[in-house]
Amino acid sequence: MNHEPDILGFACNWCGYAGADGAGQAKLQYPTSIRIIRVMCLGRVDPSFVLSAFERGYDGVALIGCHIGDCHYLSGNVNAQTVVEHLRGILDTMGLGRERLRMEEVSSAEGPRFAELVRTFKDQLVAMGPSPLKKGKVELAEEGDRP
Amino acid sequence: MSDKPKNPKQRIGIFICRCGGNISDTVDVEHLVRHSPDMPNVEFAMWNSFTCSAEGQARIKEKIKEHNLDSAIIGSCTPRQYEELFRGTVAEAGINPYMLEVVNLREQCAYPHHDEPAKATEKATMLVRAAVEKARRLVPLQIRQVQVSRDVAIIGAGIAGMHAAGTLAKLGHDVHLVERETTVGGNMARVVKTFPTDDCAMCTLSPKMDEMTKNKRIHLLTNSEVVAVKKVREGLKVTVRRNPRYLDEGTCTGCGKCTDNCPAGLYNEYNLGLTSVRKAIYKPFPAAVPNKYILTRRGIPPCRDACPVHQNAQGYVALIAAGKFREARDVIRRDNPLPSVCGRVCNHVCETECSRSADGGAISIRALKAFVMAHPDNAEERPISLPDPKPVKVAIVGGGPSGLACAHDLALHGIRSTVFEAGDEPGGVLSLSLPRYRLPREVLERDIAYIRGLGVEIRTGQPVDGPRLRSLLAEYDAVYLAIGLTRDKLLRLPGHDAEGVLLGGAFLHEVRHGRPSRMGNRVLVIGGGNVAFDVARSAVRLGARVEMMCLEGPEDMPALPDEVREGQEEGIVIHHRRSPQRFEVGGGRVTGVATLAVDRIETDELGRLLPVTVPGSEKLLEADTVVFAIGQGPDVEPLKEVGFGLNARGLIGVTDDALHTGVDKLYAGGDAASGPTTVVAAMGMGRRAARSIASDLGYPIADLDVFGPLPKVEAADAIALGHKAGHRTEPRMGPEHTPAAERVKDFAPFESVLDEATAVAEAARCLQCGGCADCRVCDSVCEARALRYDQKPELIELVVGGVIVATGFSEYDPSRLNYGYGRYPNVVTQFQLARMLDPIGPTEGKVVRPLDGKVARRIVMVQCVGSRGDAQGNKDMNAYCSRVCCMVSLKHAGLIKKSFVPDAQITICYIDIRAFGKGYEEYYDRVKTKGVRFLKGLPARVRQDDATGDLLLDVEDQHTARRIELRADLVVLATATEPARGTEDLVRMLTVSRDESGFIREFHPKIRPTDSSVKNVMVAGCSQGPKDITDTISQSGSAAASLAAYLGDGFITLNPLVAHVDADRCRACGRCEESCEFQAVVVGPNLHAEVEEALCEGCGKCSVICPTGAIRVFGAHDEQIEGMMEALRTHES
Repeated sequence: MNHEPDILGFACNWCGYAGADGAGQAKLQYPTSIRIIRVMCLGRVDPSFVLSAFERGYDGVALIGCHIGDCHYLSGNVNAQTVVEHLRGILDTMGLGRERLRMEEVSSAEGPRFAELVRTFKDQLVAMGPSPLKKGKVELAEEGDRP
Repeated sequence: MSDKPKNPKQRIGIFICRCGGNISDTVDVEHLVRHSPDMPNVEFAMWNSFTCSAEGQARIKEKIKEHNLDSAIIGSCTPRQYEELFRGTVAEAGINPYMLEVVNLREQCAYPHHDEPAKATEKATMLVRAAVEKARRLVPLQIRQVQVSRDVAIIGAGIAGMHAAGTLAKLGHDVHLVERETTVGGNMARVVKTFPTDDCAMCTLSPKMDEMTKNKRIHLLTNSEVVAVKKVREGLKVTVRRNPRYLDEGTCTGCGKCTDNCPAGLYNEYNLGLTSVRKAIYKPFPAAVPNKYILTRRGIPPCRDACPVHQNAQGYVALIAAGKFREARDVIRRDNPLPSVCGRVCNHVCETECSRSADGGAISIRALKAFVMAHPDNAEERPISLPDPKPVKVAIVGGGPSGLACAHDLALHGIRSTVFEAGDEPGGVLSLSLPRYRLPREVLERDIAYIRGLGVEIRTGQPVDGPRLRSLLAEYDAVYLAIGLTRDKLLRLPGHDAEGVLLGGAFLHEVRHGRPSRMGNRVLVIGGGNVAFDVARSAVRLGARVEMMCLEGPEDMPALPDEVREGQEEGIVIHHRRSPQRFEVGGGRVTGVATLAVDRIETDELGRLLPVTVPGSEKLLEADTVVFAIGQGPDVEPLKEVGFGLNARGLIGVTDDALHTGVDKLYAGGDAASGPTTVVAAMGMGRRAARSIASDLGYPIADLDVFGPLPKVEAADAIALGHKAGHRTEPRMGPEHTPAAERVKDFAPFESVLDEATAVAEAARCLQCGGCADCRVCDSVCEARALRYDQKPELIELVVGGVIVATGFSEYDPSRLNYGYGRYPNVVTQFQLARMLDPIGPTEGKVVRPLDGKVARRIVMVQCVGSRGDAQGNKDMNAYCSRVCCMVSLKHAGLIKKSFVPDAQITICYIDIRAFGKGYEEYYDRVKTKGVRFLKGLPARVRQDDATGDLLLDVEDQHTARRIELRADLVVLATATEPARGTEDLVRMLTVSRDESGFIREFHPKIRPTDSSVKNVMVAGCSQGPKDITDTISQSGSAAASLAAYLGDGFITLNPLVAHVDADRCRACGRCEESCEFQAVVVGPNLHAEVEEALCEGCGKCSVICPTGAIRVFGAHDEQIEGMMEALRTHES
């Protein structure tokens, strides 16, 4: 049975999200597996979001943003890169596999690149099989806690 | 963070757009509308055909009011398109504009999932649900305004900057126009003619340039650079460094007398590498604006830097080359109290450090000084006016170089002194020790007479002992002890008290009056320093056979190399590495010295030499006279009772650089304090003592600091610039020496003084390392008294609401290619050719071969040099097309055929001819009719025919597929336009981004080509990309208007989606402040972080790094994102 992966995308307003819009404007087709949350900058992506996403059962997470050196906020994407590298190690340790977390540089002009990466990511996640954390719901933390 | 929404009574309305089918053709909009009200807090849902239309918006507003909604969700095209518009719409209906969430149902749902409508609808439902979860966690936000400065700064005063400045000034803004060159005008001022009208560039430019100084709203800062930019609430705080012109701009009348009299000849960078020369004080071109001169200093020349009295060698050398010998003497006397003496005996460290040493040979600086002092123009020294005498007096003990220098400087500043000299003549070592063949009597007397002429009293035959010194200290306001080194050292070896064993210092004293009585015919001098050579060479002249022995080897003798060489020429035999052991004595007189070989020399902590000898290496050196010249010490015994200390080496101890001794009013200097040095070093200490004394007495001497923060000039740079100004590597010309056989016959001086022709030619070899030679002739001829030699850079702070970057372009450097640029003189760039066409340019309007100045008849122009690299398969070139070079080449080809060289054969090698603008294609047609040949194909390389200097190019004509060899007088390269060099720091300071080619990245290449990524920084002209003058002016107007529109009436609406701090959670760790690249958050005096909303860009980095969650960004709270994440995943049904 074909497993339809859940992919969460964080895309930055200036590049990644605009690139995704560009893919749509060109009517390029890609799987519905990906759902995107718009942030102003990938520097906003807290490591806890990524871990929380996997806890919630997402099969893959992608951070899609500006090319290094072109960040609209100067170096937010550099911060994100550091975060992603650490998290990939953690995913390996957890047994989920580092390939479930990606960081992609997509400029506002690179719609085709966006579409391609979604297709590739989905195919890869199908091949890997569903995330082992998929079963069971997750209790959200109470007010006052901080992960 | 809790995901529990804030307000259970929230009433959300959902409005889904069909978008005329764009969305509804794929997504089942009715399904969404039917099921949305099931979602928590959703009161109402409906669909619209065209939400963005007036009708669609009206319907939304109606429903908001009807259902009393307080939040809205609009499912439509991408929020990047209409989010602002929709915020306005809901605000008109009474909802806080930030209680809105837009869902991207078109570009990120309907369009890319058009082939899977069922799944698209499923995803759309998830997206809407996510928006609901976010909306449930939104808070209403206040919209605030902040006042910004309506002043603007424009960086770069070329045509782009000037046009923007004029426009903004007329719109009522105060404009600060910052330009790093000394004049406005930029590159356009250099192009001579402009296409397609062939108008004179300066004629169109001049009125604009003039406006920059006439318009009261424009504040022009030339010769200035931006050094810092800080974002502040009012906009930007821009710190500008105004570099010194070394004259007062307000006072300078632009009359030009300074430049007419300036002796310098420096590389003229205005002419872009063609050999041309300018003065040190100059204007780049006659119509420069502002119409003021500028004096250019490059740094401290190595000669001046090395000299212990900081003699301005470059200054007097430049004046000699200009034939101004009196002015040269004035320059010398400014720093040198004993110039005639130094011209003969100085050890010239200046020459050792001279940049020319690596380029043909150091300038004969010392000999040139002697030439000036001996010149008939300077026979009568002009009386100088001295300041009013101060009511203090100083005693100087010792009339040698140090004491005399001190007395001289004090006298020039109105402080009288009396010199007490123990000997029968003033001069110290200069008169008592130095042999006459090195320093003729009359030369010394001349300098002494000058010092006496300043009012210094010199008393000879006045030895000073302890009691005398104490009485001087009582009677005078200060005493300078400069007694030199007069006590000969000797080795008390067996036999040292035999007849014929003499002391060097005493020997030289006696030589002044004739042959020393105890001197025999076979002299052996022990020692390897300058005094030893003075003794030896004097003995030669007295007819003896002379040998020397020293501990050192030939490579480390302490004497000056000149002395050693000259001594050996005169027949002196030197025994190196020999240590004396005892004197052989016969009949009461010395007959020789027994010596051992020296293996190595060790030094103890006091600097004394301890030779380690080789056993069994005895050798007897025969002599009937042995002279010790192994060093001297100060004669301090009689003076010690006064109470000053001695240092470990037995010299007078000074306690600091100001030459204090610890005894009140007593100073010490010269060799007596420093140990044996040189005449000029002792003079340096004397000048230092004068300043110390004058300062302590309350009359400080203020020396002009003309260099300020400038560093020493590097020889390599000086040589490169010198060659660009036309200098070649040529050998040094020095004074002649009488042959050794002749000169040993007497004590006459053996070094000739240079004749005038040689002196001028040698002086002309100077590379003028420092730029301006500091000769100060300009000041002497300036009637407005505008010169300010010690002017320092000035820092100016501007607070402006916005900035326009108009920094223009630089040419690509083609020397890295195979076209021979930089190697073959007849290969130039189009910009250099433009300079040739200028009637007042480097070739006076003639099109010539730089190699030999002959008229260039066969001209080949090569296009795309450094541009369109992919088309040429060359990674050393830029990828882009530089847009203007085709037109520039057509212009030059046309002009040359029309007026300059009508019978010229011009070939243009091209890939494409791009004549894109209005009137450009017609211009191209006209040039074709003038007989210019167009060859489609670029040469692989350029070679030079060395016999003629002609250039050879192999080109394949793509139209005929034939290879052609071209022979040219002149090859002209159309080089790429690149971003101006030296602007990288500026771009970084303004936090704008650059594109792949290094030009400033515009916000959007189609829609907003003159905005940068920073909201208050605009860009215009070639700093954004290559373009011609027409487009530059268009862009400049656009940037000006854009900036004026942004600044409006001075009030800016702030974006509320910024960071905010919960002070109770904040523990002031400062990590947010550290991580913020916009300086928008600071841990304040209230001990919690505070956000300056005007600077916050809302990126969110701070909220990630905050350990307590105190700082968060509106519109991107953790719980909002977590809520969305939960809604966007598939749930088990």
